[in-house]
Amino acid sequence: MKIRGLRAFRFPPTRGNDNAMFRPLILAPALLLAASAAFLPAGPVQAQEAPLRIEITDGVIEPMAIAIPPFHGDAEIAARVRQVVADDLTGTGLFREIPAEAHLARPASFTEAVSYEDWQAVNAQGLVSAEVTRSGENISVRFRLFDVVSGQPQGDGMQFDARAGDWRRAAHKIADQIYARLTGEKPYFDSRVAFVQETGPKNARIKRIGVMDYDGANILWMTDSSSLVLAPKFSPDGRRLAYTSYDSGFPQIRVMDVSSVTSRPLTQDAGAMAFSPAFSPDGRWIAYSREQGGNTDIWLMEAGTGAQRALTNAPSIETSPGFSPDGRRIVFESDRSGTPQLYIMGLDGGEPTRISFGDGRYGAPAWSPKGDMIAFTKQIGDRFHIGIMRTDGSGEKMLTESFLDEGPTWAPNGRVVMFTRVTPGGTGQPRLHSVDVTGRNMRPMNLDFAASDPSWGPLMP
Amino acid sequence: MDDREGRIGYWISGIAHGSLILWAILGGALFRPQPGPPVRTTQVSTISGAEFEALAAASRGAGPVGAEATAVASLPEPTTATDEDAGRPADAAPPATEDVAALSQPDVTDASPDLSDFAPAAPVDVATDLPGAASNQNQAAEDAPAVPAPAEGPVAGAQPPQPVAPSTDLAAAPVAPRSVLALDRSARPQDRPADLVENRSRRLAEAAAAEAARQAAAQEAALQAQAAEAARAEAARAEAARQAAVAEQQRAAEAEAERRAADAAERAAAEQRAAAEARAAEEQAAAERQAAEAAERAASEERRAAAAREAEAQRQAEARDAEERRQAEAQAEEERRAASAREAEAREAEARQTAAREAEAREAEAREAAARAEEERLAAERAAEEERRAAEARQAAAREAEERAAEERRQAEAREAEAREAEERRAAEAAREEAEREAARRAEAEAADRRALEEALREAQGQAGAGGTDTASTGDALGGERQMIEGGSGASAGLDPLAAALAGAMAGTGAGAGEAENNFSGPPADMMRLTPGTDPLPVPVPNDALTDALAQGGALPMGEPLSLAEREGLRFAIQNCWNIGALSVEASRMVVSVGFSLSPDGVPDQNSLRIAGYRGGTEAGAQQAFEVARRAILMCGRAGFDMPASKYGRWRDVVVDFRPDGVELQ
Repeated sequence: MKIRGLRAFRFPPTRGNDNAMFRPLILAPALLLAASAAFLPAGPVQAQEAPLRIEITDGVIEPMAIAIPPFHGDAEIAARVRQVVADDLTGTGLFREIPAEAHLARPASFTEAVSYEDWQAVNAQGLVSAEVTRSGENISVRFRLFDVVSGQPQGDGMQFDARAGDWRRAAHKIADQIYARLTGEKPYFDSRVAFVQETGPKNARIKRIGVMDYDGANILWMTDSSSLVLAPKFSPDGRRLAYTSYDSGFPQIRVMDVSSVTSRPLTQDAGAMAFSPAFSPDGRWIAYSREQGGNTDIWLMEAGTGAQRALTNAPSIETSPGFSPDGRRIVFESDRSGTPQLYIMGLDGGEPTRISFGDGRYGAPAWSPKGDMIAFTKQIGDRFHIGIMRTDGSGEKMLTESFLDEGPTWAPNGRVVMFTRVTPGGTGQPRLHSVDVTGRNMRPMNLDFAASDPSWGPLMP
Repeated sequence: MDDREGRIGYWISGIAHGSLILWAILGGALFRPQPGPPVRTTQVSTISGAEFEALAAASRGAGPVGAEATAVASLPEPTTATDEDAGRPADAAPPATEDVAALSQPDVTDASPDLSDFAPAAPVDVATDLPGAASNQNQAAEDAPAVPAPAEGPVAGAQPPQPVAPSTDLAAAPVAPRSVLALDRSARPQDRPADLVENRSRRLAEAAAAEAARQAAAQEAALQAQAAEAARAEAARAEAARQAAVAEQQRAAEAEAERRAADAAERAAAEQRAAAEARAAEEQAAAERQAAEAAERAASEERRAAAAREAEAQRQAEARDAEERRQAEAQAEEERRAASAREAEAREAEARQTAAREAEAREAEAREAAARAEEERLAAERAAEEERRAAEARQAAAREAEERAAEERRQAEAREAEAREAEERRAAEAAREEAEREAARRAEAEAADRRALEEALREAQGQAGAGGTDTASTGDALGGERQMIEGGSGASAGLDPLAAALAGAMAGTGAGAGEAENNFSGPPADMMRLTPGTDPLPVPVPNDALTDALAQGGALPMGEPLSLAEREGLRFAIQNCWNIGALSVEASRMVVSVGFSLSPDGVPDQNSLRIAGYRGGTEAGAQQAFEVARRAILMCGRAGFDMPASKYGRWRDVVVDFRPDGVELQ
């Protein structure tokens, strides 16, 4: 009897190897999952168990838009203070000032409530409001910083009182506060830089030491041009300068009081040359290079008594010493390995440790005030670089490259490096430049004369 | 072709096989090996082992050999020749004794060999280059040892005695055969000459002396030769010296002659010079005169030339002046042109600078305008985005409203359908009841009529006679009610109630029984639907419902897990506002996790922003990094992040790990 209507269920034909025998194995878990899913509660009737987690590893690099509307109070001084604040912030490369003509809101007073929507509309992220009042020869500057994005003040307001003549310092102080709050870095605007001005032809240079605000204002001359001077270095408190002078015919170290502009010799060894001084963090000691009998070593002198002793004793040339922020170690340049390299040594003695191993010659080391990095001059072939590396020699990175870049010095917050750049050619002149440790925002100092050998002083109180 | 080849093959095969068969039958005769030449034999005689031993001993010159030394097996005695051996050669038999005696006897007259002709020959003088070769040869001849006298032995050429057959003496012990050649006594070696050593020593000494003499003679000869050579050299030197002296003399003579000749020549030259000087003086005087004249002429000429030169110089000077003037004028002109060019360049530079400044100003203005335009564009884009989102929201709301309306319509239709069905059922029920009642009425009427008829019949029958009820005549076996059912359409009133109800149901009108009876329009519409309906799916919960649910504390819509695109969209949205350039050095080395909540519109809740964790730095650094991250989240989330509402439960709470990898500060 033939059965009709009954058809065997067949899997679809497969090509190649007949893996029909595996189909049940594949279908079984699928059916199991389907069955389990059928028993799961259907529909959106369930609370979030864990938050959504995402990771962001990249972003944008752009200056933060900040609005600095005109300061209130004494119009003349307020305008100047506002300009200095704006210049300080924009000069870092981390901020971009929103032009005044783009402002929607025009606050009438310092105490007026902030219309965050108006500032958000112009894409401002920060807002600075300040007022400058003058009473006789004194001024009082107060400011407030607002976070426009979150619509709330950022930190407390502050007030600075100063003489009218020190209005720039007040402006720098305000900029320091804004900078510190928004970047998290320590401030550095209210500081000074010692340098060597150079004039005259190359074969007859006339040099003198000057001290200026970090932005090139308020220049004070410390020496005349009667003798050759080199490599000034600020003391930790910023009140003294140690420098190398050729007034005796040979390089000797002198110390100058910045306030009184008076100097005295520190080294007077007739048969020896002394140069490249550096103050210790506590200001008690001065490390310098001493040359005698054709050999140059690092010596340590007590600034008060003049007692001195040798830190190194090698037939090679050791020079350009620099103290660590804790005052326990020094970094210096030595050619004991055949070429100029950087070494670190403890002040209690011991064998110096070499930290530079790249191609080229290393010199003029400068220890960061934060203690985490060392800036240096590096020569590779006919090119010069300003670079930074960690104190163990790792993480070497070049910040600049040119015909001649040399002599780095750190800002008080360890974020910015100032150095000398010499242009090539017979008319080439040295100019001071600054660069961020990220390598960005390299710009020349606002000076209309040739200058070299910068030494960045501490943040002024 | 194949047949022919096959036949050929058959023929060849047949021939070959036939040949083999014939060969097998007859080939034996043809290929039988021919008998070879008869074997030739030679008569040989055999000797016994003893005889062989004797011969061997004799040949060796040794004594008789013991019988036990015989290693040869005794051969069998030769058998008598028989007829069978007729063809075989007869074996050789040893000769008889008498035959032996018949042999020639050896010649024993010569006791010793004649060595008279054995005297050493005189040495021959051979040409050689060795010194003293002749003497060596003589010496070698003298050194030759004396030939010893020949020993007594068997005579050369004598025939060896034939072996004598030993007499057999069976009683006596066997005696080893002894060869005739055997020596009874060996010859005593010749004694060495007594003066052999002395003679030899003497000969050696003599040879040494001769050698020494020879060497001395050779040396003397060499010395003589050297002397002669020296003498010859000396003579040659002397001759050379003599010749040199002669040559010197000749040279001296020649030099003297030359000096005399030179002196003579000098005298002659002097005389000639003097004569020449005289002539020269005369000539000079004449020349002076001429020169004076010439000088006068030259002077005049020179004066004329000077005048001409002066004129020329003057002309040249004038020309130079003119040239200088022209050059000066040209230079002045050039300077004027240069000055004008410089002025033009200056003006041009100034114009370029002005243009550049203007261009810069324009560029600045353009940049500002572009920036403003960009800002406006961004604002417009954001507004457009917001409008788009609003439009989408409106569209979504409209869709939801439409869906709700459609749902309501469907529900209404369903309710209507249910009402209709209920109405139909009620109508059908009513019709059925009506039909039943009608049927019952009809049945009662019929029953009444039947009873009336029966009564009439009974009355008629009664009148005719009394009897029982005969249902059989009526055909009603059942005894119950009986209704006539007529099939087909057009059922009458006598239709069965069930059939009427069925007809009414099949009519599908749901009307009364009458209509159900008479109307057969087919099954209900719903029964005729063979394809499933396309009823819309359940409508998702709208935002309003979400909001209401949230307001009432209800559960959040989870939906499917967030897709990669949705997650990446949120990440990029925040990343585009995360300004890592604003991070401090410490913060750039840290990882900060920021947690926050989002509203259903995707707007971050500012109060929910918090630090969910950090590593790699201090709290101050984490705070600074958090500030930067917070700005990024709030700025880019101001208009709300574009996230699916149906999955709100999955993205309401967010934790973002800010890890500034690749920042240069690290």
